[in-house]
Amino acid sequence: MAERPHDHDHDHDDHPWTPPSDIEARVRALESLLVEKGLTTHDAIDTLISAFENDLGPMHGARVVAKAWSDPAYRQRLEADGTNAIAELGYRGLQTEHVKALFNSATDHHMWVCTLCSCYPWTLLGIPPVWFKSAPYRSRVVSHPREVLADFGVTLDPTVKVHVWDTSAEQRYIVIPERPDGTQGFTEEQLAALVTRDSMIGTGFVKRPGATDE
Amino acid sequence: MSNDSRATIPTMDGVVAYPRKNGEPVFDAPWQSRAFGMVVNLHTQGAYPWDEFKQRLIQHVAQGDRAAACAAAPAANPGYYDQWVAAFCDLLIDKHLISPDEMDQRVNDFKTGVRQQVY
Repeated sequence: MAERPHDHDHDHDDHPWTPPSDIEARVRALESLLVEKGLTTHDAIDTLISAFENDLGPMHGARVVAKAWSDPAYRQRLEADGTNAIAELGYRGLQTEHVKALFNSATDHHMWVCTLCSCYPWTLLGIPPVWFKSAPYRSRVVSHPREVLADFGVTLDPTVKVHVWDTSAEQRYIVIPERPDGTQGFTEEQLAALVTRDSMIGTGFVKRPGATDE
Repeated sequence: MSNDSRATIPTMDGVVAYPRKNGEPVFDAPWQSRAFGMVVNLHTQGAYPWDEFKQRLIQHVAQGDRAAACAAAPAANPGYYDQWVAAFCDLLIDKHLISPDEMDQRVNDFKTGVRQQVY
C-alpha cells in the first residue's frame, strides 16, 4: 500500500496528548514491547491488515478449491451439494446459503455474473471487484463471453465450451478451476495459495506453482 | 516469503469468526487492526501455532477469564477484539515473550502519558 493509514498509533508532538482508553493503552503497550523485542514491526502489521481487508474473503473460496483438488471424496460431495460441502469447512450464512460449484475441465469453462444486480458470495470471495458490478461486464458477458474473457487476458482453445451462469439472490456460484500441473504433493495450504479470486469467478486463471507472488 | 501475506492469514470460524459487515472484515477502531496484525504476524514468525491462539480466544469468549496483567478495566460488553487482546496478552505471558510486570508498567506509562509514542 502506497498510502499509510493515518490512524496508526504514532502520537506526534504536534498533537496535544489525551489519555488513551484502557484498551488502547494495552494495545500500544503490547505493540511497543513486541517491537522493542524485535518480534514484530510496524510495516509487517500494516501489510497484514491490508491483506486481511482485501484478501481474506477470497482465501475462504480458495480453501474450498484446494480441498476439492486434494480430496476426491470432498470433491464428490461438493458436486452433489455445494452448499453443504462448503458449510463443512465452516463457511455458512452471509449470502452463501445456496452455492453451486462449477467444475472447469479440459472441455468446459465456467464463469458467472449477476446480470440484474451484484449478487456475490461474500463469505467465500470477500469484496466484489469493481468490474463485477460494472454494466459492460454484466451486459457483455452473456452475449460475448469470449471477448470478455479476452479482456481479462483469458484465451481458451476454440473447442472449449464456455458456460455463463447468472447468479440471483437465491443462487450463488463458485468456479472450481482445474488443478495446475506440477502440484503433486502440495498441501491444501500450498494449493490454496495458487487460487485467485478471478479464477473462482471464471475470469482468470490460477497461479502457476513456483511463480513468485505478484 | 514474508511478503506473501495473502496466503498466511489464518481462518477463524464458528464462535470466533472474524467480525464482518456485508462479508467484509471490519475494524471499528485502529487499535483493533493493530491487535489483529500483531497476533497474525507473531504467528507467521513462528511464535505459536494458530490453533493455540484460537483455542485461547475461544476460552476467553466462553469464560471471559484472563490473567491479571491482561485484564482491561471491565467493559460492560467486551467485544470481539477486547477478548482478542486479552487472549493475545495471556498467550505472550505464558510463552514468556513478555512479563506481567513490564506489561503493567508499559500500560501505565501510556495511560499517564509518561510514554506517548509507540515507536
